[in-house]
Amino acid sequence: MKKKLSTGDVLIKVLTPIVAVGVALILGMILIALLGKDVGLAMGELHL
Amino acid sequence: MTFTALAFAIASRCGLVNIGAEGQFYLGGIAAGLVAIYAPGLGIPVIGGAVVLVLAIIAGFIAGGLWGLIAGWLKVSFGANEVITTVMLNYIASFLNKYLIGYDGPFYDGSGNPQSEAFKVSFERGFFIQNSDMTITIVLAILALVFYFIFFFKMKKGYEMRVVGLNSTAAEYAGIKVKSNALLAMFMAGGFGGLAGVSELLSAQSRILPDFSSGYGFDGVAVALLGQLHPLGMGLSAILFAVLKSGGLAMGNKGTISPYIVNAIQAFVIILVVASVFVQDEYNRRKLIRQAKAPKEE
Repeated sequence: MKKKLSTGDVLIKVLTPIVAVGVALILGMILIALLGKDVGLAMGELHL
Repeated sequence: MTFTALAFAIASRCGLVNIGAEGQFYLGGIAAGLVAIYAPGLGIPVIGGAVVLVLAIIAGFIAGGLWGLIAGWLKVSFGANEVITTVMLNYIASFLNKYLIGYDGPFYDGSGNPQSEAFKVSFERGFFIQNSDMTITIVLAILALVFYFIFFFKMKKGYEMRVVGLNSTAAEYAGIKVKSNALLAMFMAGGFGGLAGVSELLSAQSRILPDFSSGYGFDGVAVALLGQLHPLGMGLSAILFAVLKSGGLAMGNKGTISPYIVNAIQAFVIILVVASVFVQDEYNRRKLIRQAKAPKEE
């Protein structure tokens, strides 16, 4: 019998990697800012 | 990157850790490159490069698959840890490529630079989608993801492989051939790694060069982990990593910001995705505790 996934199960499975990517991009922006570069310009060049 | 992600994901579904996509990438690329150089001379008809293209894809898949099979065979025959063997095979493949097109190698073109002869077939008509910069690789990648989904979630063989991956002892008890499934998984994984090499070499290069992979095999591991081994997730994460990689090249060309920032962002992604697994585990643990405490329904 197939186990039924609850909404919480699906959300946690889908949202956690998305949040992880989002946090990684924010950390990347902080890194660029710490290097004294224009974050907007850098993100534009990264096509993000 | 989708192909190298599949190389990791297919093996993972069968409980194996394939870090060898980089080596399989090289072998697939070498085989496809040799077909592109020598097949037209064997009297194989060249119809806009289409026949040679198909032959190159098949050769690349088989070469990558056989390279993956070596690690699989070592695993099932001698119990050799596939993480170590695949990593070692990466080095062997890279140095084999350098030897083959190096100054003493059989495919050196004699130009003074370590490289093979140029491909005899122009793949411009065969490999690029009309009126676009996109290659047919994107179509092949989507087809590969669809195949992965159908094979693992709709077919008996894929189900057997997943069972082996989840619990090989239980699978053996249930009459599933664990060894043959592991070998098939490594062949398929290697094959997809080889396809990655085919698409890179035939779309972005015009001859076999040393180090023609810029770390695609290792990027594939990150793509597969971010995509949680799900075909849709891997497709989306491959797009993200491809955007970062091409954006990093653009940044390097403009010289405004170091392209190595991209490597740092990719590292952040990998660390946080691995960390997010702990969040999921904690959620599942709390859910089980809640279910255990809840009064049973009559």
